[in-house]
Amino acid sequence: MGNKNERNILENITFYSGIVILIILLIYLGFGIVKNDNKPPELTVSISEDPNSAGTKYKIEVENVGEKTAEAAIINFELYDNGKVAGKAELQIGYVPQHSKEIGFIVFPGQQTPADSIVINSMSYIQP
Amino acid sequence: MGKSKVHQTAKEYSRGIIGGLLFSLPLLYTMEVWWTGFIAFPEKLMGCIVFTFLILLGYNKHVGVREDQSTADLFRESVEEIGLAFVVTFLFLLLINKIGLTMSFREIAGKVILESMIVAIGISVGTEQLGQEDKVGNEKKKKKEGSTTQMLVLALCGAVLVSSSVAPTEEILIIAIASTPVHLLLMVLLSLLLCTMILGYIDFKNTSHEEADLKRTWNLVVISYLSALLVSFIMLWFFDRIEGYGPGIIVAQVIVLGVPAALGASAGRLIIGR
Repeated sequence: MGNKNERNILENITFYSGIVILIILLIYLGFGIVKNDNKPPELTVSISEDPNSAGTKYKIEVENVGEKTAEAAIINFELYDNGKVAGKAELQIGYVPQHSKEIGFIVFPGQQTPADSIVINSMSYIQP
Repeated sequence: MGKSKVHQTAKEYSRGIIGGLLFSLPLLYTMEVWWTGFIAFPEKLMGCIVFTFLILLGYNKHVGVREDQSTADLFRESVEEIGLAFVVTFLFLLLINKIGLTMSFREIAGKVILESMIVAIGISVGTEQLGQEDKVGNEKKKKKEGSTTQMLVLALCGAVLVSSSVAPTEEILIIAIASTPVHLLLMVLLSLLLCTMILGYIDFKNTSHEEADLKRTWNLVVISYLSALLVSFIMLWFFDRIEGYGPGIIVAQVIVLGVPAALGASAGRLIIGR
């Protein structure tokens, strides 16, 4: 983009920034290649209740602690009240990349009082 | 004088950024590309960077305005373009909320690397093509035109730029599955016909100092179509459309994607080349 021997400050900043970014990315990718970690996707789910909602609303955080992306994740929840199933819900997430977190919410509109517990009934996902 | 040089460089960069966005906006808005970015293995992302860097070196060497550039200058210019592309892509993905704080470095890096490769080629093309030519020393700077290597580089760049907007989409696979051998044969013939018409017609009209040469036209058609098929295969590999599919479907996909790629390799080179 400029003529040799007459580099101005803008060209120098751009060039050296480009070199630094390239080196960082290549080292990072090289490390990933050498590490060659084939650990499959592994989802962990944390649930917290939202006290401000009219019904029973839960915040769901799904984190992939594996080394591969999880695709088409489906998580089924069951709400228990006095030992009986008071509601069911399903959360679908297109992709959960490795070491990333997706946040979703499930709401049981008819449930006005706090239930005993919410449990994960089943969880499925595929490795793309 | 220093200020005016910085000003000139800023104008060049601005032209490049506009070119980069012009060619890559469809990809920046395509979810399949975001997904491929974080699904792709590190080997693939590294291959993506190396392939783009080679394309940039080739384009700057054969199409760049200065004939007296050394290899170090070409390297430096390509690094500047790729660096600009990383920054522009990062900021744009941040703007459309496709990268954020809850994402891992791996996810952000994957998305930025994959998207920024087309932005980098767009920046290179934009810098060369969107501005006015220098008034001083123009004749000295003009490159020799028409070498086979130059044609190959231009065909590859054109094929990448035009086919990249459709390559990541599921539709290529759907069309390939639905196509019968007759459809595929017609697509090959159409691609060759398009290349022949574009290269033959344009060259006959614009090349006043050369005789209409059927052999040369056929050489260009072959170079363009082979470049288109090669780029189609590489693109499909980048976007995970090769592994896990049978040879028949792979060939069909290459032919389907080869239609826009052939258009880019033949017509695109007339737009992005000097």
